[in-house]
Amino acid sequence: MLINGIIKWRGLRGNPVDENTLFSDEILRAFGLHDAPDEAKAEFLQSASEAILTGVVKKIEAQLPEDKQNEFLQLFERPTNDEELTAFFKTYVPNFKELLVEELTRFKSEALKHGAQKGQVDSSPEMK
Amino acid sequence: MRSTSQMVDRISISWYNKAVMTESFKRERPDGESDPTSSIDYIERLGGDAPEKRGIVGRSTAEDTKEDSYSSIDFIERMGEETPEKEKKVAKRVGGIPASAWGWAAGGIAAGGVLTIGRALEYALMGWELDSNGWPKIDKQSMAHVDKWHNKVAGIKG
Repeated sequence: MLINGIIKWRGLRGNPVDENTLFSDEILRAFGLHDAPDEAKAEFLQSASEAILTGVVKKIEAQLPEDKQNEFLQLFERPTNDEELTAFFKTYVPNFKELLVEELTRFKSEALKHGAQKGQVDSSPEMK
Repeated sequence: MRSTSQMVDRISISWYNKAVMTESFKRERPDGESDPTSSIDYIERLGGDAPEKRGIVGRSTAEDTKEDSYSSIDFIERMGEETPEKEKKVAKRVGGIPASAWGWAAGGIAAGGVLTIGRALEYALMGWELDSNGWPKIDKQSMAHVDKWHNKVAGIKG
């Protein structure tokens, strides 16, 4: 189910953009949260984001050479600035973006399946 | 009358959820971290997949009557059920890295602060249109729109 279509927006190029392609409450609906208080929605989205990133971290670990796996985890256990972290990613995890998108897609797919099982969303949802 | 399979399901669900909730069946890994997968392993050894692998949703019979929104917590917990705390902490820190570190939307500002990887994922979960690289499209106008929408509808605070 798409958000109510009340948002009017035009892209930078001046082309009308269908607001329904931009936002969807399907994920919230999948868990019966579409009418929940804002705080509950925000909490869910934050938890979902963390779950996705956890999946990404596991994938990163799996693809790193053994000697780099510990280095990767230790990097986050000590005070490290963002530059140092991203330098590690760029060197040893050049496919970071791809991993993120993979996990995001997996999460959304599983969430929508869950919603379909619960009868909250269409049983054959398309990824938005 | 319940079939044997149904009874096993109910027992498995109750047992599984109790084990997860109380952590009573976690085993120690060589590095000292607890391993939450052991409860699932145990159920599998008993003769089947863990309930959630068969698409059965729920915690325990005592909680069956709770509101449906609790299932979102279950769902997220299941998504990360085999993850030691160490990885979860790493994930939180990764989520705090500015998305601009990847040359993505340099200077992109989300409601009240710099756009982080974690926040970008929240946007993407809500269907923010992705570009050809799989990242949410970001420009000044759409950012302003997204922030307004999220603050009003999704309740994400800056």
